[in-house]
Amino acid sequence: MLMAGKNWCNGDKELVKAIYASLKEEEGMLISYKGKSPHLHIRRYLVDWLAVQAECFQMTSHTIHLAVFLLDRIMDRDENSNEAHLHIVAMACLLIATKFEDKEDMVMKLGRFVRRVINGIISQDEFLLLELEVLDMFDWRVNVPTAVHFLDYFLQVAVTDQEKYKGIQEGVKFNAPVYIKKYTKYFLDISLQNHTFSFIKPSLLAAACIASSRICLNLSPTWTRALQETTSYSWGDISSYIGIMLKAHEADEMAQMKENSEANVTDGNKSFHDSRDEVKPFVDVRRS
Amino acid sequence: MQKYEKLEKIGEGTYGTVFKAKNKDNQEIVALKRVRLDDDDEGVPSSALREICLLKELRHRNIVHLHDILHSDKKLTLVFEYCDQDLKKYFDSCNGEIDADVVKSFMYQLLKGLAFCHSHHVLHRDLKPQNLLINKNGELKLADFGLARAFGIPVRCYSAEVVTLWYRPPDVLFGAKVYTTSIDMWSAGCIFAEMANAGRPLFPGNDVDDQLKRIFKLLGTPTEESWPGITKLPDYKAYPIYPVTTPLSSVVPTLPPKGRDLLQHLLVCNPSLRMSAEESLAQNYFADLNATKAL
Repeated sequence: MLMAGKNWCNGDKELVKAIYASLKEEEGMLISYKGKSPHLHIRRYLVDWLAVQAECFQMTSHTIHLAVFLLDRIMDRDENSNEAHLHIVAMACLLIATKFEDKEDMVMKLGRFVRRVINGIISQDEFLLLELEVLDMFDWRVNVPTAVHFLDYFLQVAVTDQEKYKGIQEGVKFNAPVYIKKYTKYFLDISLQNHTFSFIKPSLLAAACIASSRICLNLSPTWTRALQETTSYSWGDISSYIGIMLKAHEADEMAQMKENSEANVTDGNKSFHDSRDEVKPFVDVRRS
Repeated sequence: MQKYEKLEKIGEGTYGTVFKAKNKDNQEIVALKRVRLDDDDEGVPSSALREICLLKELRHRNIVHLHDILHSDKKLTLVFEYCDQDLKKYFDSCNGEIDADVVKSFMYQLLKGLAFCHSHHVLHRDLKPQNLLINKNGELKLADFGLARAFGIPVRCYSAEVVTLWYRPPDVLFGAKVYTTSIDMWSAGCIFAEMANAGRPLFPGNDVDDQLKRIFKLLGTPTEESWPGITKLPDYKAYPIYPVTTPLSSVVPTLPPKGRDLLQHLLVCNPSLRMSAEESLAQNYFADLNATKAL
C-alpha cells in the first residue's frame, strides 16, 4: 500500500513539482495574520482546547492546523466578540476543518459532541448561522496549505541516506526517519501554542520544525544541502524561529519534570492547573 | 425578491436537487443545486463544503463553473453554469453510433479537466458519464465534486468507499486506502472505452467480486510480479489466472490503433504504472485533434 504512494512520488516527478508549485502559490495568497485581537490572551487557552479535542477524536494534524488558521483570522477581524463567544467560534472552526479534512464518521462524531457542548448556550440554528458566517468570511476557501502540507513533503529529505542506515549498521535502536517524524510532529504541535508562528509562512514553519528536530537528534549538519534545495530556505531564514522553538521545548521539558516531581510528592492529590499558564505537550515524544 | 426563477427539475446530485433556472437580472440560464440544511443536524454537509471550496479554486473551461453561493431559510443554493446534458444522456440520444472525432474531442477535454484538477492537488474520485456535462457547443465539463478531495505530497489515507463500482480501479476494489491521481485515470479509461462504444459500459459489474472478475478476464489477472504489493492490500483475495484472450481491438472495434494504445495505458491494474492525465494528453492519438470538426 505504501509502495503505491512511494512509486508515484519517485516516478511522477513532474506532477509532484506542479503540486508543490501550486501549494507555494496558494501559500502566497493566504490571508495574512495581524495578531491584533484584543483577546489574544485567551488564544493559547482556545488552541489548547482545540488540541485536546483533536487528540480525543484522533483527528489528523491537518485538521487542527486548519482550525487554528481559521480561528486566528477570525480573532484578527472580530474585535467585538466576548470570550465565551470565541469558544463557540473555535468549535465552529474545528467542525469546518473536520468536514474538509477528515472522513464522514469523524464529522458525525464531532457534530454530536458540539451539539452537546453548545446545548443551552446557543441554539442549533444559531450555530448553523455561525458556521455559514465563518465560511462566508473566508469566501468558502478553506483549502489552505498549512505547515502540515509542507512538512509531509520536506520529511522525504529530512534525513540523509547515510543517517538512515547509520543506526542499523551500528546495531543500535536509532531509526532516524522514525524519530524525525515524531520530533517534527511535536514541534509542529507546540508551534500552534505561540501566535508568533502564525505570522510566518507555513513552508517556513515546516522548515524550522525539521531543523529544530535535527538539532534535538544531534544530526549534523543541521541544515543540509538537500533541505536547502527542497525548502528553498537558507539557514539564515529559519534560525531565529529555531531559537523560539527550542526555548519552548526546554520550557516544556521543565514543566514535565516539575509535574513528575510534584506527582511524586503529592501522590495523586494534584491540583489542576489553569491550562493558560501551563505548557503541556500534546505528545511526549521522548516517551512515545 | 428572488434572483433566480426556477424553470424545471433536472435531477438529483450526490446531495441536493438540481434545477434549471433563469437569472432574472440578465436572463442567463443557470443550474441551481439546492441543499437542505436541516435534514440531519450536520449543519453544512461536508460534501457540499468540499465541492464549493474546491470548485472555487478550479477555474477551467473543462470544469463546471460555480457562479455563486446563496444561503437563506435553511437552504444552501449553489449556482452553476448550465449545461444541456450529461454524457449519459448524450449516449442515450446517439442511438449506438458516435462520431470518432467526437470521442477524441470528449476524451481530450476530459483529460484536460483532469490534468488541471491533479496539478491543483484535487482528486475527483467519482468520474462517470453522469458527472460529465456537455453543453451545446460540444464542450465537456467535469462536475459533481461532492466526493472530491484535496491531496498532498505524499498522499494520505482516504476512504476506500469511493467511485461508482463500474469505474472503480482494482486497487480500490481490493480496499486500498492510499491512492493518488491514478484513481481518476482508471475511471477515465473506462469512460474512454464506453464513449468509443457509444455508451456500452466496459465493466458493468454487479458487485465487487464480479467487477474484479470482469476486469481480470479482459486484462489478465495481476500477480505479485506485475503488481508488487497486491497481495498485501486490505481486501485482497486470490483470483483464477485468466489468460488474456480478447484483444482490445475487438473490445473497442471503432477505436483507431493510437486510441487503443492510450486505452491500454490507462487500463493498467497496477496503479503506479497507470498513465497520468498530462502524459495521456501528449499521446499520438490526439496529434490530429480537430476541435472544430468534432463539434
